[in-house]
Amino acid sequence: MPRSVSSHIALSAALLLAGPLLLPAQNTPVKTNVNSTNFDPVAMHALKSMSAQLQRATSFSFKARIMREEPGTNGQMLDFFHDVTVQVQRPDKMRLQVISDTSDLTLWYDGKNVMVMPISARIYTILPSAATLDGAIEMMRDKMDVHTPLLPFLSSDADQRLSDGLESANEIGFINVGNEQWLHLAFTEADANWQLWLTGPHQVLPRRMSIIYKNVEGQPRVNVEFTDWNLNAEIPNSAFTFVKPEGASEVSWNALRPKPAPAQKKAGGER
Amino acid sequence: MKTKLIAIVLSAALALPLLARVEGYGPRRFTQVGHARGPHGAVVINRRVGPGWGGALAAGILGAAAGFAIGNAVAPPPVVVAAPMVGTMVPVLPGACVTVPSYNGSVVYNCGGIYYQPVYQGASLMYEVIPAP
Repeated sequence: MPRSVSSHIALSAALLLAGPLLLPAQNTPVKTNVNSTNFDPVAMHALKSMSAQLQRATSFSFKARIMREEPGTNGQMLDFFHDVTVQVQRPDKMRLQVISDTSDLTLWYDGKNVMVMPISARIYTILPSAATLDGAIEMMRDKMDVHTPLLPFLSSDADQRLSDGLESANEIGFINVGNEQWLHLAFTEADANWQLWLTGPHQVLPRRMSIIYKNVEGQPRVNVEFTDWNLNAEIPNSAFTFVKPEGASEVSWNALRPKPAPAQKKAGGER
Repeated sequence: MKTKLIAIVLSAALALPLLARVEGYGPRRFTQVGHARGPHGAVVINRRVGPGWGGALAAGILGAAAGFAIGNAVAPPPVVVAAPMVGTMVPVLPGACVTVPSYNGSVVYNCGGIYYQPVYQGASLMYEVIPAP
């Protein structure tokens, strides 16, 4: 039997077998009807297997390259790249190092506070946070306006975050990437169409993600490539500890927030 | 009281799925391209700070062309960079800046008489040109 076919069967079987253990019947507020024909069971089980894999990892690390489309003033979409190194120790520690076209910064979460320090500026900010990583992620999203596509993968319930509100989930098939086979999945929801590529069957992990924000003007795309997964990472506690550099100034988060945009002009104004 | 409590619990429970989808796009900001103007009120980032590669290349090309035409080594013309307008958003400081600390809870950078204040756009730190404090 060709290896790709046997791998396909092995991963599909593993995902289907893993499914019943992972299907969250308790998720009542979700309107998603996973029994409808729009929901391929392999795709849903793959999502849950990936989530279970990440949930079991108490100390893990990976790297991600994020390509984000942003509009130019002439309407052309421009690509900006962000390289992120992620280190997580569940339930209450995280470090993100971002080196990008637009900003270089390190973010620490130590179970009490989120600290942010741009590498190129001698300023830092400390924000009180929840006692768990999930709470810190909510705080980053709601108060800090941080919307990285990596956040669901860091939470303790990635499949619930990703599957709630879905309108469809489909298995596209396997693709060959070097010596590996990746499972290509496609999902739709009200505001976005997104795709996920997973490795397997022994470690079901995300390797690639593509999101199209269909309700944002210009329908920008965000692509993510995941590499260097280590689900048993030995991360020293010092990695999660912020040490104030000499001469750096603490700046209040509110002072760094953008000011509200000026009021929209009525007739004759620019759009 | 009890009704109010139930309402709060219910609204919290119903609100949960809204938080639980693929991550949103986040703040939408425009990058200056040529002379095109972004929508009114939009955050526009000017990524062409300083002469950069564009200016250096232009100067090199002009210098080479002039040298070739005249037959002599001609120094490239200086690249003049206009002072950015107040409100201009840039991703990096031009360099040789002096920090003015404790300014409204933040810091201000004095870069040759142009003052910049750091501002976060999502997770990206930008610098906005402000009037002299």
